[in-house]
Amino acid sequence: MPRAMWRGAIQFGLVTVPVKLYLATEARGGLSFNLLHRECLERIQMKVHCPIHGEIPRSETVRGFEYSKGQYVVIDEADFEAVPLKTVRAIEIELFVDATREGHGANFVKQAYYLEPEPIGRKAFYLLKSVLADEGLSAICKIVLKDREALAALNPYSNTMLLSTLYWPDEVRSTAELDLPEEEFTFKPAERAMAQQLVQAMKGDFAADAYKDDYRQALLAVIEAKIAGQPAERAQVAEKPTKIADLMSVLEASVAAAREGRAKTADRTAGEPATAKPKQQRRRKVA
Amino acid sequence: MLSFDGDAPFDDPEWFFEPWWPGASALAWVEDFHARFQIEHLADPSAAFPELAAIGADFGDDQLIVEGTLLVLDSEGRPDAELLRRRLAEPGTTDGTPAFVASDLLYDLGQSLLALPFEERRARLAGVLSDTERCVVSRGLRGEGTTLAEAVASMGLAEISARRLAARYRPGVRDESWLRLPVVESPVTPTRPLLTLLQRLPI
Repeated sequence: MPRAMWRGAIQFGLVTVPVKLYLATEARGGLSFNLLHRECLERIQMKVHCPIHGEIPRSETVRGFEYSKGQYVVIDEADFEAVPLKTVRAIEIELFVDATREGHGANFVKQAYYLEPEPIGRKAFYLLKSVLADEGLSAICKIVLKDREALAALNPYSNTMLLSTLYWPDEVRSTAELDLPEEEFTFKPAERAMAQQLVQAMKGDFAADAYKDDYRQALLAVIEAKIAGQPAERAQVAEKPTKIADLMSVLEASVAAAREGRAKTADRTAGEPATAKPKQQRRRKVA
Repeated sequence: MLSFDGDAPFDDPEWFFEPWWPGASALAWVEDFHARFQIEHLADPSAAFPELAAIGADFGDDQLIVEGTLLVLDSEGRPDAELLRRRLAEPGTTDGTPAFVASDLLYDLGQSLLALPFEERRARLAGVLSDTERCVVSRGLRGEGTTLAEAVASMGLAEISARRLAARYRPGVRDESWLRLPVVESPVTPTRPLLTLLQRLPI
C-alpha cells in the first residue's frame, strides 16, 4: 500500500468528499547514479559551504527571498503558515469544462495523482465521477500541495479519478515566439484523401504496455554487465584493508569462497566416478 | 632460484600453491635485526622502502635470508604495480604502503637451509615470522592448485606460484620444482553468457 501524500476533501458547492492523494507516476526514466571520487570510489559529500564561515551544518540555513540585487528577506516556516490560502486541505472545484475541447487549459500537466475516497465519501465520489464521464467534462480546481497553490484538472480514470496538476497560464509560453506560418493552407481532395488513408492505416488502440523505455533497458544491461564483470576484489573495498595482513585475509576469504563453490559443484556431480588425471601431464611450457 | 612458466593450474598433493604476488621478487637479508633487500640484477632497493628497514625485528631469529616479494599497497590495500615502479624509479617517493610477503627461508641463524625440502623451509619460516602489518608469510594451499587459482582470480590477480614440497633450493638457476602458472578463467559456465559477452564489447 503506497503512502498517501495528501489528505483533504473535494469541495463543490455544499458537497464535501474526503479523499487521499497518491502519486500516479514515478520518475524512472533516469537511473540515478552517485557521484564518486575516481581514485577511491567513495561517495563524495556535498558540504554546505558559506564563503565567510566555511562549512556549516544544514540546520543553520534559512530560506531567503532576493527582493533586490543582494538584498534578502528571510522567510521562515511561520511566514509560510501565515499565507492566507482558501484552498488549504481542499480540492476546490472552480468550474467544469468540456474535456474534449481543445484549449481548456489542461494540456500542460505537471504531475498526476490518484484519488482515493474515504469510506464516508465513496458514494458522492462515484456520483461525481459518473457525471463527469457521462457529460464528457473535466473539473478545473485548485489545491494546495507542498506550500504551493496549484491549478488542477479532475478527470474520471479507470475505477477512480485522476487529479492532474497543471501549469498556471502565466507559466505556459506563448507560441508567438515560434516561426509559424500565418497563411492558411488549402489542400486538394486527393491530398486529403491520401493523408486520411495513411492515418486510417496506422489507427489502433493505445496500449501503454506496448511501449518501453528502451534507453533505460539498454543502460540497465550495461550496468548489469559491469556488475557481473566486476572483480570480486572491488567488493573488498568496503572493508578497507590497508595492511598486508588484510590482503592475506582477503586471500583466505577468497579461498574459502572458491572451496565452497567447488563443494557445491561436487555435490551436483556426486555419483559420477572421479576422473583420474593422467600422471604424466605436461606442466611446463615447451620453450 | 628462478621459476619456469607453466601452462595452467593443476591439483597435486606434492605441490604447494600460493598467489604470484604482483611485486618485485626479492631476497631479504636480516642481520642484527636489520633488513636489507636485493632484487633482480642484485640491485638494492632498500632506500626505496625505508619503512621496511625495521622488519628485521619482526623475525624471531637473526642472521636470516628470506625469499619473498616486495609489494606497494594502494590506499585500499591492493598491490599496485605502478606505485611499486615509482618507488623503484624515483628515490624519495613515499606513496603507498610497502610490504614484504615472505615465501621461503634460505638461511636461519646463519645456517644454510638450502638442502632441506621446501616444505621444511616453509615450516621454519612460519615459525620465525609472525605476521605484522608490513611483513607476513604468504598464504597458500597444498595440493589444491585449481582452487587457489580460482580464489586468486576472484581477487583480480593473474598468476599463481607452484612449488614442489620435496624440492631443495637451487640458488641462481631456473628450476622445474617452481612453476609460475597463469590463472585460467574459472571452468564454471557464466550464468549470464549474454552479459559476459556484452561486457567484452567496448562501451
